[in-house]
Amino acid sequence: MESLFQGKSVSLSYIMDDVRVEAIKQLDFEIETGKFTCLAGASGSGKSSLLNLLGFIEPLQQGQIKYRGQLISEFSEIELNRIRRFEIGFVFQSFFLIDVLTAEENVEYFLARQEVPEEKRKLLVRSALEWVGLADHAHKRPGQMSGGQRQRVAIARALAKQPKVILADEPTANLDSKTGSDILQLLVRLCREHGCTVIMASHDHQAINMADRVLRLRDGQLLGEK
Amino acid sequence: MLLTVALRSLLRNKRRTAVTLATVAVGTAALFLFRGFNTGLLNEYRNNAVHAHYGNGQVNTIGYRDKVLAKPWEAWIQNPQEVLSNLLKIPGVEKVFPRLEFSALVSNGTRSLGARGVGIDGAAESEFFYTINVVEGNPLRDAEDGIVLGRGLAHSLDLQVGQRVTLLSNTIHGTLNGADLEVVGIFHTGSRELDDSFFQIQLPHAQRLLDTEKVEKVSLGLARHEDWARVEQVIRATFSGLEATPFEILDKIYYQNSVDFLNAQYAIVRAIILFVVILGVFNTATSAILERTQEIGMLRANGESKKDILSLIALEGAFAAAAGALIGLLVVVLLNMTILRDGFYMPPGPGITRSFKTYIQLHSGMAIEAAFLVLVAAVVGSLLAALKVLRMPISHALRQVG
Ligand SMILES: Nc1ncnc2c1ncn2[C@@H]1O[C@H](COP(=O)(O)OP(=O)(O)O)[C@@H](O)[C@H]1O
Ligand SMILES: [Mg+2]
Repeated sequence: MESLFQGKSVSLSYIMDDVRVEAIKQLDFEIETGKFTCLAGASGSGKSSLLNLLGFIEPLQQGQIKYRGQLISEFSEIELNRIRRFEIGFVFQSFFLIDVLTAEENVEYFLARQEVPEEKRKLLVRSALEWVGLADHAHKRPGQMSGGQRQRVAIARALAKQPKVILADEPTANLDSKTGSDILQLLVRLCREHGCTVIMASHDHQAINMADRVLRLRDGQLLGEK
Repeated sequence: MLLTVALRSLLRNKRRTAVTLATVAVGTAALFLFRGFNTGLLNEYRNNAVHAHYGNGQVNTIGYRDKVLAKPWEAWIQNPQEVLSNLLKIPGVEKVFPRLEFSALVSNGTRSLGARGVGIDGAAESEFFYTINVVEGNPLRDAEDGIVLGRGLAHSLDLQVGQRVTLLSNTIHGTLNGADLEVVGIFHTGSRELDDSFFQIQLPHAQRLLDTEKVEKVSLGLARHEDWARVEQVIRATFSGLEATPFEILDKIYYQNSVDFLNAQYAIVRAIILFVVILGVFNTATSAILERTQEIGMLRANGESKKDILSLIALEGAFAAAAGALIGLLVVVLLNMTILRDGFYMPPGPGITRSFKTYIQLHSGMAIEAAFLVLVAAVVGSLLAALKVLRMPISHALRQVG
């Protein structure tokens, strides 16, 4: 299986109040294309840090990461923006929808920014919302929806971009277990039905059980994998 | 899409948008009003200069004003009647005032002083030159043997209206000549030079005194000063040997300096207003943008470049500013149509010796300038506010709690 990401001796630290926190230490990893990978580990183990590196939203400090065989340190800012725009879909713990846009518009926004022609855009938006089961809520704004519904919109937004990889950072942590389970199912189906690589950070057992592959982290180091 | 987000974001926080709107409106109004006030003031200064002494400009033989001539009368205007009637035919020229300036000794019988006299068409000038400030008696009008003196000159010679004076002067042929006149008025311009040494008599008297048929120059009265350039053009093209000079140049000391002064003052006030607008908008935009740090992080995580974000912020700033500017302009126009409509009194300005009434004069050019400048300032203010959020790594922006 070809790998989407390859990491070698990746380290990441934050400086906070003059104290250096090592979030990731000398990590070697590989993430395969088309699989559902779960980053597991307790809170503070470095899941988000790794996910952010993979999503090009945290600058790489030490080590090497290859994305589709190319060193990410060699990408220009313009290329990075292009990859973020076309190849990566994010699903965050706290949804991050644009409050002033309806569900439909939230999904459409980045398609418009991808310059997808209007007709195709509408089609993609509708099918994405249908796919997450929100066709009837297309005209609601985030404030009028439940957490689960909002996360569905976020997933529809990521899906509609037709990205190569979806990065989900504890997407179920803010939801009750039933809703969380539904969201998890959606992400798994996204991987199976759409052939999307999904990388999800979670310490949820169900997620760990359903994943193709689990990378266990502790204190920024790889503990093992399933 | 960008537009939708920009507009709705503005509506989301009404209070803050209102503050921005108000900042911009006040800034625009202040600029517009100040500009209009300056223009009104300049207009008054101009009116004063034109109607006190200079007319809209003067006609003399080419080069006459620049040269120091041994025999200036050789460069005076011949056939004044013909020149005058031809000048009157130029479209836009309403009045022509022939003048002849000379030096003379003014004597009250016991004491004499050297002074500058000018022979004028008293009857014609009294109406046009209405801002000349006659403090005692009357303007010259048609008093055939009358003389009107500057206040300083009258004071030095201890002259009152009704008393007689004797003028002594050389004719152009070098012989001594004299005239006996009666003081009909005393004027005060505020210019020391004029007040201390200037007097007016009827042109025929002056011509007789100097023994000439010529006039030195012709002042012009136009219906509208805006026509001056065209009039000057016609004179250059059709009056060989004559040239025309606008009052701005004749009255460099008062008028042009006032213009320069007011413009410099406007530049400073403008800088202050724009600075305050930038600061005010920066202030409100900063809190608005900080609140949206996560949204901005999310947008960037999805491929929006820093430039894209700046455009979004600039667009929002520009929308609010455009609305605010429009309000500001409207308020000023409304004010000017109501409470400022009748003008207001100003203390004496340069070259004007009494308080005078001025109006706010508004033109669309000023409105556009004011709105444009304030708009730019507002956009600059919002962009400055956005820079901080754009400097942090995307993941930090996302982590930030709004
Ligand atoms: N912005 C930050 N500043 C300082 N320390 C941070 C920051 N983000 C994360 N950390 C620290 O880095 C470590 C890893 O955090 P994180 O990657 O968020 O772990 P997880 O997502 O598994 O909870 C933790 O010790 C955390 O406190
Ligand atoms: Mg985390």
